[in-house]
Amino acid sequence: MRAITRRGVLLGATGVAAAGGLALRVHAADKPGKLTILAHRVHQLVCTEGPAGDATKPWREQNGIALEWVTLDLNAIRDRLMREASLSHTDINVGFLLNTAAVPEALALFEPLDPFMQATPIEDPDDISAGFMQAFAYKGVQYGMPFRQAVNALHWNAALFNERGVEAPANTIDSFLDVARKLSFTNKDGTRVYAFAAEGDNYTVMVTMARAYGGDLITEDYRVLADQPGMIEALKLLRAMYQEKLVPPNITAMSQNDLIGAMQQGQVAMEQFPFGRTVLFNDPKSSKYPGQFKLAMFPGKNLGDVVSTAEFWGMVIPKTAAAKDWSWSLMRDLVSKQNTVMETINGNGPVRVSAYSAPEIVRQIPYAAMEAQALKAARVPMPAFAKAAQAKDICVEEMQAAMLGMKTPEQAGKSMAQRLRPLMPA
Amino acid sequence: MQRFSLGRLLMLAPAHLLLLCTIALPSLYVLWLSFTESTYGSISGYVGFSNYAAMLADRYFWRALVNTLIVVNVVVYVELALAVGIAVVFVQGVPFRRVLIAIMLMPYAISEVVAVVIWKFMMDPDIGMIERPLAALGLPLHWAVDPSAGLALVCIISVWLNMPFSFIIAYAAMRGVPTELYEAAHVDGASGWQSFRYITLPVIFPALLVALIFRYIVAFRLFSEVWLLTGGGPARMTEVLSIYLYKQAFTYADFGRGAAAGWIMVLASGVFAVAYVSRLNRAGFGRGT
Repeated sequence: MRAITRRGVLLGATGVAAAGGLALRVHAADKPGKLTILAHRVHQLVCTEGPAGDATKPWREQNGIALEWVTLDLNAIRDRLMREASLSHTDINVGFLLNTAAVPEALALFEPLDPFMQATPIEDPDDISAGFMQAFAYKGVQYGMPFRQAVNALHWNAALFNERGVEAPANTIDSFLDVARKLSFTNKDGTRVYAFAAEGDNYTVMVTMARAYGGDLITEDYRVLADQPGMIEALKLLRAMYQEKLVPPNITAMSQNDLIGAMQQGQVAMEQFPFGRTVLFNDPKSSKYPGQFKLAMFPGKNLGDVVSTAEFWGMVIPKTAAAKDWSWSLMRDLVSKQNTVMETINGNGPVRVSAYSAPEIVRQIPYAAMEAQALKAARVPMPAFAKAAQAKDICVEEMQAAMLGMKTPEQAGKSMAQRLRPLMPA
Repeated sequence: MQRFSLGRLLMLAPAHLLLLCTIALPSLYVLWLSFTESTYGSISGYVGFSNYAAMLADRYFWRALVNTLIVVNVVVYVELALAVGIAVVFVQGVPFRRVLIAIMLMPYAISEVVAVVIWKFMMDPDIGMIERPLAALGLPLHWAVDPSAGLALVCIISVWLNMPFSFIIAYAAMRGVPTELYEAAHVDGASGWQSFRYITLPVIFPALLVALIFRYIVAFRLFSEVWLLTGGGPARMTEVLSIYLYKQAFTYADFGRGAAAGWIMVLASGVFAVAYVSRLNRAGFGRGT
């Protein structure tokens, strides 16, 4: 056996120090000056602005990495993210992916997160809803980290309700139309008020109404129910509301921003939006009715039924992106318990169950208990499958046709079902 | 004809190379893509003409093509007629000519997105400063729910946005008409209309033809006005070819169909443009010379 000499120890220590220094230099060289995040503006806002402040600041300052947010609209995010992920190299380090886009073909373009999870796991992974985690997994491999759930509720303007002597929104779907009739009027200041509005190029409200009537659009096991009584009743309700001028006449061309503006300016009395939007509706800087917007569950067939739809977002790392360790580090930080609470206070829908019992949230977010209840019952409007985008367009087209009177609700429902069935996965 | 020497060809090579790289190669790539089944991150193979066949069997494609042809023809001809009319007024002399020309050119400097958002706001049925007076007169334009009205508004916005281009070409051409011709016509007792018909129009015709070709090709790929205004709705009734292409390629991630739609657009616009322009060219020059 060779004896250990002082010279050998010194040489060895020098070598180790040199190797360590080299490794550090390599690590420093790998460290990017910034990470680019492709997201919706809402994601950026809940992470960086709001009553709880900037949740990303400690991570940025500790690591000396700036964050560049590229924010786009819903469809554009998916389009850009998929295109970026298909390139041989992308500058997008972290992307936000909606659950309906998390189909196997798409997930294959993103980095499996399990090795990162094993090396540096996120804080208390069991606290994140298993359903959310599974939505971004395929064949047991995790590709996305859930970040935001958007559970829908009915937002209503109490000032407009009071003006019409209506105490609260309808408590069953059968009385929805009667209440809506009372809420469509010309305001004291001359503003034309419509009872209800929804995004014209989305189908979520239609699905919510169908579920309220006991029906559905597509079940979790891909059965199409668009021609069943629940959906037909929903289409009849939408049609009646359009024909009786209880919804804005330009509803089919209303974007999400149009809806928010109309609600804030008192042109619409009720809208279905994620819970967190109440912060925006009640914002004194932009709303004509700050503090007047309340929340309710969308009414079901029976009194006390909880009907709610939800979408949720996950963070993914494109396979062809650089600095993946740093991307993971950021994602890990954004879903920490402390940051989840901060982001929730800023208006995010938390994916951690514990967030709803956090004292800060219970104190600062009056609707936390209602959202927790809605979350239990919430389901996505449509399960994920490869042809989901085509299915969405078909639903919107048939819904608009029924609403505007181009087809009867029965014809639209039948046509929707016939066109959707061939798109379902085998 | 002078023959190109090797030296001259070499000097021209960078320009040719640039055209090859930026236009020819991407076009060929898209052509190849149109014969494949392709989506994000995967090209599963050659499928022959099936993308073209599927598209030609798709009623939404035909509706988009018809809508495109209607919008393009309305936009191009209305725009050209208005541009020539306004240019005639300007040539005859208007007070504050430079200021008015600057005002005329303003819409061209505005981003399409901003313009459409502003128009959408002005045409809001409840608060729109144009739509409300129209409704008060009993002439509401139900552009969001009536496909014809939607396409009409698309035409109005497109004409408003692009007329400065046609106007400046027509105006510049009219300024170049020799005054001696008008003097001679005046001496011969020609009326104002006759001077315009037999002097101005034939002289500016080549310039108008250039404007027509450019506007025809650009109008054929009209996208923002429809996308931001109606999104192709209601019920996909106002879709134009570029929206159809966008949906196929980027919403449905079917790049093969999207590429096929792109090539159909190129061929359709090319065929229609060549047919129109050659006919107008023959007719115009025939009468003008």
